[in-house]
Amino acid sequence: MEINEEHLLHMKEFERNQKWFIENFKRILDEYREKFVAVWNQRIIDADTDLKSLSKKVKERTRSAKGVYVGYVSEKPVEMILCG
Amino acid sequence: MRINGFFRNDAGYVNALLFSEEMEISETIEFLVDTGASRTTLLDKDAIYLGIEYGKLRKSEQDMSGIGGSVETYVIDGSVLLFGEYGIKTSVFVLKHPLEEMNEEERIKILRFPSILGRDVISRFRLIFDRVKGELLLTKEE
Repeated sequence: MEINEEHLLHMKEFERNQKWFIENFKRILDEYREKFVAVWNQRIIDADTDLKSLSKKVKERTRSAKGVYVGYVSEKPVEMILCG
Repeated sequence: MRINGFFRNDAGYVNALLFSEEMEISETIEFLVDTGASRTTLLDKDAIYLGIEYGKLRKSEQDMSGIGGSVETYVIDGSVLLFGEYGIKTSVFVLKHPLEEMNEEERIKILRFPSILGRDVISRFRLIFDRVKGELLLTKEE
């Protein structure tokens, strides 16, 4: 496996999905509050409160899907101090 | 060379493709730019979504400090982080919090933490972190 043009395309697809998630967050919040959502092709393809279950479902549905963005939908901010 | 990041609320992030031939990983990850972290580290959300098999990874000699104390730490040796067309070879650490021992609230808290771009990568660049202008850049003279 080598890094190739396809990997760069997957990265661009990820960034499109990430941007879509951020820009549509308020609308997504209404329907998917406190859930993990998977975004692909600039739409939500699945959602679940359990991340492992979501990962399994997404991989089953879209075997070759690359560039899927996974986000958690919540109004509560993430508060953290991370260091090491 | 310039790597553009972005802000969400007051936190700065960059995207990078994590590539590991040995682990057959090639996925884009959203990294929090964290100058307080010594090592670039995948946190539980990304590790779980990617389906990382911890048993196939090298266990780190030293566990990292995580939420609530020491956390099992693994290493993906020989990884490449790709920023656009610019690749950086580094060992990426992987944290495994004991999620099964946590209550729902704690579990979700951990799973919301982003993966971290640490000083092993940041220090190779000049970092511009200007929240006022909305400018987050990692630059390097060619």
